[in-house]
Amino acid sequence: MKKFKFYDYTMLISPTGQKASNLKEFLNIIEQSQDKVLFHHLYQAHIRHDKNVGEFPNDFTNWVAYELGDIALAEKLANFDPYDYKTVAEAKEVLIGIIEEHIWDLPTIPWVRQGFEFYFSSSTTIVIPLGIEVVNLEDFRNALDSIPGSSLYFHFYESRKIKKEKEHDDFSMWIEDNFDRAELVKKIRDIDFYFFSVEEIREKLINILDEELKSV
Amino acid sequence: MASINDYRDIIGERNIKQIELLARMSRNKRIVMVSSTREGGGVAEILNRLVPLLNELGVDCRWEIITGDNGFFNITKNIHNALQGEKIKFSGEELEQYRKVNEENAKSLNLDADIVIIHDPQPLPLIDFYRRKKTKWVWRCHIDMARPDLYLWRSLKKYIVKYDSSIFSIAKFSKSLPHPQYLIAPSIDPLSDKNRELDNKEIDNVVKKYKIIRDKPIILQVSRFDRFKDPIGVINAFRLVRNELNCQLILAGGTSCDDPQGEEVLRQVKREVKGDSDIHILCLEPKKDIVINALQRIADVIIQKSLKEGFGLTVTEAMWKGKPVIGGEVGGITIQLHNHITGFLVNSVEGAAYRIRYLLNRPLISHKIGEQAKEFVLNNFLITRHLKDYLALFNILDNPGKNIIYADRS
Repeated sequence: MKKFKFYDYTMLISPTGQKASNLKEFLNIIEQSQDKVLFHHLYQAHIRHDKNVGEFPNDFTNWVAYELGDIALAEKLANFDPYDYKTVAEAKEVLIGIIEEHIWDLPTIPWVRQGFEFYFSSSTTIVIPLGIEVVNLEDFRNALDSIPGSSLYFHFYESRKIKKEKEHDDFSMWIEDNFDRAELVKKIRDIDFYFFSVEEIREKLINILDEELKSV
Repeated sequence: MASINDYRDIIGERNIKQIELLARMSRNKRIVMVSSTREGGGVAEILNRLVPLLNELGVDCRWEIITGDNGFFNITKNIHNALQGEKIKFSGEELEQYRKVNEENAKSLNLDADIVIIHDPQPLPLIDFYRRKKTKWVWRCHIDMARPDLYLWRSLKKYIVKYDSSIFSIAKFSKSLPHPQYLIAPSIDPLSDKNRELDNKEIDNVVKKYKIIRDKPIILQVSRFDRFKDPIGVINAFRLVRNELNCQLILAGGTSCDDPQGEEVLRQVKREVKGDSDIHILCLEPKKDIVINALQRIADVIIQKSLKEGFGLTVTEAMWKGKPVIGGEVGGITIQLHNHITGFLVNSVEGAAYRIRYLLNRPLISHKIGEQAKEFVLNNFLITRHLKDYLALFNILDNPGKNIIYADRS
């Protein structure tokens, strides 16, 4: 049986030096941005300590809602799940389409007040072993209680992008490969993860595992 | 001085292990930090802890200081102010003197290293006189650069673009530059005299020595006497509060040897408070850290009404002591204080007065905000996180273009 080795990571954010003061600039910069910039704002928002993370699942939506005040667009962006697309480039194309269509119908372009512009960034992460390894589901469940949120994020969110498969989080993959628990794997893969915070995901996974272990 | 193991009880075993692992990845590196003063101000405080900790972890790190006369530091103080947005005209001679003093320093400094980290604008031009092919040069800007004076920015940009990368405290300060930029927030040391727990006797000693009478709520601002810290605005806000509530104000300011303009601001503040027995000005010498610590612990509300602020470490210190803090909505204060959660952000004298009254009248809410503020600092703004960020940076500089680096993937 293969053991599950937990990793954590530390991240340095790299601002690109570009900022958007209005929705048109915002769209133009997204169009020109590299995939790593989109990846940072669309996918990695779950892990950063931001006052508004949790309300909406990505940086773009939070800015549009709270700083730009365009709630209709925020609602459209909030329902956009970038994990539905195999590559960041595909997600970017769909995102641009949503913003373009929204701008098309606007009588004026919304602006933010000075100091509340959107600052674009990318990031570099260093993946570090956490020093926790497990071989059975009981220990795995207990580890879920104690690992930091950044580790949970890495295995449950970012690993899907590394593998370019929406369903392939590290946890369900390990269970699928090492245990005969198809139902458990399905339950984990059925979680609508993009719309939950990391701490909510922790709670959900623990509940699913507790239920599974109780039934054995 | 505290060792890395002394932080174990605060940040936990796992974090210590991660720091040690990252440090092992940088053990072959030679780092040199360059700044303009060893004492006074946030940069010196941070480097006084970071450099010994890096060495303890096996990373060869030295700290060099540039020297200059009062004329040089007057120019660099003006450069600092202009980068924070003040309109200041610099003559060609002044900018030449700024460059010349750096040229002189380059002759005596030992900058042989794999990575040279230049802190703030004072030593920025050094890169013109000491460039080595294999050395990576990093400019670490601690200043609120949201809207620098354009003419000065153009003059300094010619140095900045020669660097391999830049570090800013928050994204808002980043600029369009031809090299990678990184965000590293500053930090405080929870074990330093300024931030460690104090016993009642230590606090009482400070109260007695500075003749503080704790018969009414204390509002405190700790900061250098600097126009951007708006001490006059704090006095005006306090006077609005005092119309409604019986309270006292303490303005405690340290001095920094690279800030010759502080004396003038202090004189202005003294003129303003003349004869007002509820306002106490404490002009503190360097190394009065226990005094600052005690003042922060006896305060009921702590204010940092800055008009410009690189980060605002006094805000972090106050939050670490579980105090409710009110800060100007500028610079790095905005990533520390979140309204109703970790403190309050204000934009005017009236706003500051309103929030002081709000907090003094609601002790339970004040207490809760203080607790949340302390936890926020624990997770984000301690020296150990800063250390981890620098160690990550050293590794990232070694792996240009990579978005993900595996420390040990087996």
